[in-house]
Order: sequence, then structure tokens, then C-alpha cells
Amino acid sequence: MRKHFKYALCALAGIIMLSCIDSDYDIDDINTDSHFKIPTVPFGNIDTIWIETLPEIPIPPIEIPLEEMKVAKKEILPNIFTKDIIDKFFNENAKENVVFEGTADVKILTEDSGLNIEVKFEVVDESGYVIDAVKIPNQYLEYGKDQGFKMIFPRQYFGLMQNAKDINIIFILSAERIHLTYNDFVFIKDIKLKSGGIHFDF
Amino acid sequence: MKSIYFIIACLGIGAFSITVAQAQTASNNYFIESSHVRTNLNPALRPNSSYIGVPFLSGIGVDYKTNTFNLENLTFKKNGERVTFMHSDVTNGEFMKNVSDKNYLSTNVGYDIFSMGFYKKDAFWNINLGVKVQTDVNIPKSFFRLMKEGFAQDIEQTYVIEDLNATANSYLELGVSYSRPFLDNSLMLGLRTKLLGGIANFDLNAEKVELTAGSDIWRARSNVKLQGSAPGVKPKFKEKEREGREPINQIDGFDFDDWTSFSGYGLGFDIGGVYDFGKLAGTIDGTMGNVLSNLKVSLAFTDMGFISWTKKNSTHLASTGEEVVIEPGDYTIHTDGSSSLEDVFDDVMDDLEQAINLEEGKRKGRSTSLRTTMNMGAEYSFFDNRLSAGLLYSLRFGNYYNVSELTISGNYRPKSWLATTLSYSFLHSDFNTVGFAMYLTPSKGVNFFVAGDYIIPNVSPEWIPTTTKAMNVQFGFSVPM
Repeated sequence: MRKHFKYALCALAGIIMLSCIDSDYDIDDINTDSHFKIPTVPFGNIDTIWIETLPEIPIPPIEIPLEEMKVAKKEILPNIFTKDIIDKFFNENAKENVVFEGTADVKILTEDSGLNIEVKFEVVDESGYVIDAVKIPNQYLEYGKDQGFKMIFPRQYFGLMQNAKDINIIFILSAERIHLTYNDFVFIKDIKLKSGGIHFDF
Repeated sequence: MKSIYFIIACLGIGAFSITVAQAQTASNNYFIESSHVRTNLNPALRPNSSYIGVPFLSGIGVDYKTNTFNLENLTFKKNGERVTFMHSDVTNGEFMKNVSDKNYLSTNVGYDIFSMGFYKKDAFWNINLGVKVQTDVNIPKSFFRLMKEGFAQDIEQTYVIEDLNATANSYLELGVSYSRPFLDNSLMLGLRTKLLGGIANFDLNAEKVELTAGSDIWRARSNVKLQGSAPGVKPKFKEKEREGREPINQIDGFDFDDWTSFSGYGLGFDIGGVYDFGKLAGTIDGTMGNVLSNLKVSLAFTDMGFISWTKKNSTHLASTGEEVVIEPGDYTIHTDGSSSLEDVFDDVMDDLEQAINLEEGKRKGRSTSLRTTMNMGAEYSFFDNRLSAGLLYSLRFGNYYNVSELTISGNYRPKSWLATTLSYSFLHSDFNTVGFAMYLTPSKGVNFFVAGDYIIPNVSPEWIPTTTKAMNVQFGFSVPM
């Protein structure tokens, strides 16, 4: 009886000793940072940006000749960035740039006006300050439809963008003669986002 | 995103629910003659003596089987830390080699509220009352390819995900079994009849989800059905307003009545037989006669039956099957600050979700079949039946996939009050676990058993399987009569 009881006890003890609890797999210590390679995301169009306030146009509107001058129009896209979008797309671990790619229709002045538009971008933080260290390459447009347009956010700046909120788009117009009217506009359309993917935590 | 969350929630419930079912009875009980729970595996198998199970403790069992879902397959060691397969440092090839074409997870938890068994002449009667819950999840390889490999930026890619499904079933079972010998005690036949009270059931079947995405256009279409039954179950929908666009209806969970009544009723059967070659062997001379004299073979089908769920307690949801097309021109970022990138991204995802959004169909009753299991066994005994070797093949027929197991066991019964089994299950043990069962059955006092086919757990500190692909454990107390 005692022999068999010992046998039963030893069998149970053996099983318990063989059990393997591996702390290498501790759930609390597993890095759950995840990366999902999403396709190009369609982000649509930006509302038409009218240029009528450059410079202030009297009522009734008249053409104001401005020779050998440059004028600038700053358009603010407020509240563009949220924490969620920063975490997803501008994650510090991201390995690729984020590029917003679209086309622009520009109807400012006339086709033969020699218009050149330099487009600058500024990222603005939650306190309203421009994050100067984030350098987004300038883009160049002219009069015409369906011009390629890119907003490139180099990945090395993603760490600086964690408090980003708004984007300033500054259009710097130059032409031999500038005669602005209420009908002058820039329309940026069919914006697509290209990235290495989105980041999230399980 | 609600439908996506809902489907993920269903999969989660499926993955982590636990139940009592015949399948949760450890296979290595099969050859233990003092086992009263082996009647669940084959109603023709019966214990050595009559018994009464200790109420609420006569049998409790948990069972988990998978071919993929453990931490070894889903996590990787990178730069000194463990990361999930979705981490960017884990290559596609590294992870995808761990994934099968069909990746299943099957869980069972069983709880016998009451059981008793007694002999009357040469017949054995068994009565049991218990709760059973069974869950199955199957995720195809294409789903993991989508998750891990994702999409390229400038190439149009299509993913077709077929046969992603999850089911769960829980019910109360009142069973009565009867077995008696035939052919001069050579053949034992047993039958169990079960009255079933359905508690809840769901069946999610994503027959086909098709997703195409390139740099200019996204397209999605699905054929998804979700059927469920529970007391007074009703899907809730929420209308989501969208600026300048049609509002959309999104599923937003379910309402239930009190869980005090059954949602359906059913009937089930187990049938089995054991043939002992001992008598036949006596008529055969020579070695063959000697060999056969200690051989028993058996066959059983358990959990054949159905539950009929009432119309009042059932819901049927399905996707529309219409193709959703998403183009860049569909969205607008407003310069007045009223829309962020997140808003537009959410709109895109909401539109995409319409491809799998579920709509409620006509309410009607439904029937579901039980998860039938076939057990086929052979046992050869030595040394006056003190030792035996057993081989058991189990095949469980699922709604969407079958799970089989082949278990070999060595059974040692040195005394009438002590029986032990050491076993190995070929299809899920992966050489890192064995099975063990022990029955302490003195003729007086409380009897105790513990059994498991995959008894050495390889788990994380939270008891999540690491290298283990199957775990089960069962224990119970009874009193001999």
C-alpha cells in the first residue's frame, strides 16, 4: 500500500516538476508595436483655395498691376494632425517617408502671364509655433491643370512632429505682372498618402 | 469600424471561451477501467463499480487544441526583446513559415454538475447533468498574409480571404446512458440519450472577403454571415452621420433578455461498442489464439444530435455582397479646420467597412448540429490485466474543419484502488508534452482522479501556451456505491 502510494505521489510530483513556465514569454514584457503595410490611402481633395485676398481687392474688384513683385498667400489647414494620426503615420519607428501626393489645378492670372508659384510648407505645433526643424521640400506650380504636387515629410523629422497640429501652406506668386481677381484659385485634388504603413499597439 | 470590432470580438470570444463537452474528456481515460468519465468517450465503456459524483465536483475539464496559436508561433525574439509577428523587424518569411493553410483553435470546458452510475444485474446505467461549451475558430493563411505582408504602395494587389469562421455553442445536458453485454459477454454495447437545453450559440462564417487596393482605387466585397442564438438576442445598430454624405448604419452590439431561460432545445446520442476477443480466442489454437485472448477493440460516436433554436431567440445577419469602391475624389479636407486627416481616414475606413457591414435578415428559428466525435480504440493487456497498451484514434467533426488525434498509452493498474496511465498524443504533443492520468479509487471514502493528454504545460507566466499546441486537464471526485 505504502509503495503504491509513494508511486502515485512521485508520478504527480514528476509531472509538476516537468511543467515549464517560461518567463521569456511574459505578456507584460512583449513589445506590441505593430506595423501594417497599408496601400496608398485616398485622402481626397482640399477645399478650393481662393487667392482673392492677395492683395486686398477693392469692391468692386479691379485689376491691380503689380510689376516685378512677389506676393504670398498663406493658407492654414488647422487641426490637420491628431495624436492618432501622428501615432499611426508619423511614428518614430517608421522606416519610410510619408508623402502626400496629388494634383493641383492652378487658375491664377492667365496662361501667358509667366506665373510661377513656389509652395512652402510649415508644420505648426499645438502652441501655434512653427516647428522650424521640420523641413518639407518646397514644390513649384504654374498656371494649368493636373500638375503633380507632393508634400514630403522626411522620416527623420517624425520625432519632431509628435506635437504637430496644423499645416501652413504658403503660396509665393511671381509673374511679370500680377492682376488678381476673385476668380483666381488653387485646387489641390486627389490627394493620396504613401507611407511604409501604419503603426499601432495591439 | 464597429463590424470589424464585432468580428474580432466574436473571434476573441471563440478563442477564449471554455466549455464542457465530451471532447474535453481526456483521451487517456479511455483505457482506465476504474474511470467513470470514460463513459463520455464511449457509452459501452464503464467503470469497475457504481459511483455517485460529488455534486459540482464530479468532473471539471478544460481542453485547448491548435495547430498555430501559441506564443512561439506568434512572437519572436528581436534585439533582446520579444515582439509580435506584426513588428517591422520580423520578416514575412520568418512568420509565414509558422502559419498553416488553415489555422484552428478549438477550446472546450466541461463542468459536470451531477453524475452517477450504477449496475443493475449486468447492465450499467449512468445519469449526468452538465454544462458544455464548445468553440472553434479557423483563420486561413490568406488572413495572416494580409496582416503581415499587407500592401505595396504602387502595385495593385488583391487578397481573397476564404473560410474565416468562428463558432461557439453552449448548452446544458441531461444524459442517461445504458450499456449491457451481448454474445456471451464478448460484445458490450452502450447508448446514451441526451436532452439538451441550448444556452447560446453563434456561427460567424466569412465565406469570402475580397479586398483590392492600388494607388488609385480600393475595392472590397464580402460574403459574411453571422447567425446567433441567445435569450432574446437582438442586434443593435447605430446611425453614423457623415458630412455631405448618406448616413450609414453600423452594428453596435447586441441586446439580450435575462439569461434565465433556454434559447433552444435539442436531442443528442452517443453510441458505442467494445468487443473483447477473449472468448473468440479460446476457440483458436496456437499463437493467434494467445494473441487475441488479451485484445479489445472499440468504436464510438459521441455527440450526434442537434439543437433547435427558437425564432424569438435567434438572429441572422449578413453582408450585402455589394462591391464598395473607394476613390481619392470621394473625400474632402476642409480648410476651415473642421476635418483632420484622422476624420478623412475614418471616413475611408467607414466606407471600406460597408463591404463587410452586416444587415439583419428575417428572424427565423435555426438548427445547429452537435460536434460529433468518433473514437476508435484497441487495447492489449498483459500480466493478468495489470498492464495494458492502448491506441486511440479520435476524429472530431467540426462545422468547418475536423480535428484528429492519435494517442498511445501504457496503462498500469497495480491495485484495485490505483490506476495510472502514461500516454503520448502524436498529432498535438510535438515531443514537448506527454499525457498522464491517475485514479485513486478506494472502495470506501472519496475517489479522486486527474487526467490530461498534454499534461506538461509549456506556458507563459500568465498560462498562455508557449510551445504547447494542446493542453487539457480534467479532475473530479466521486464516492463509490
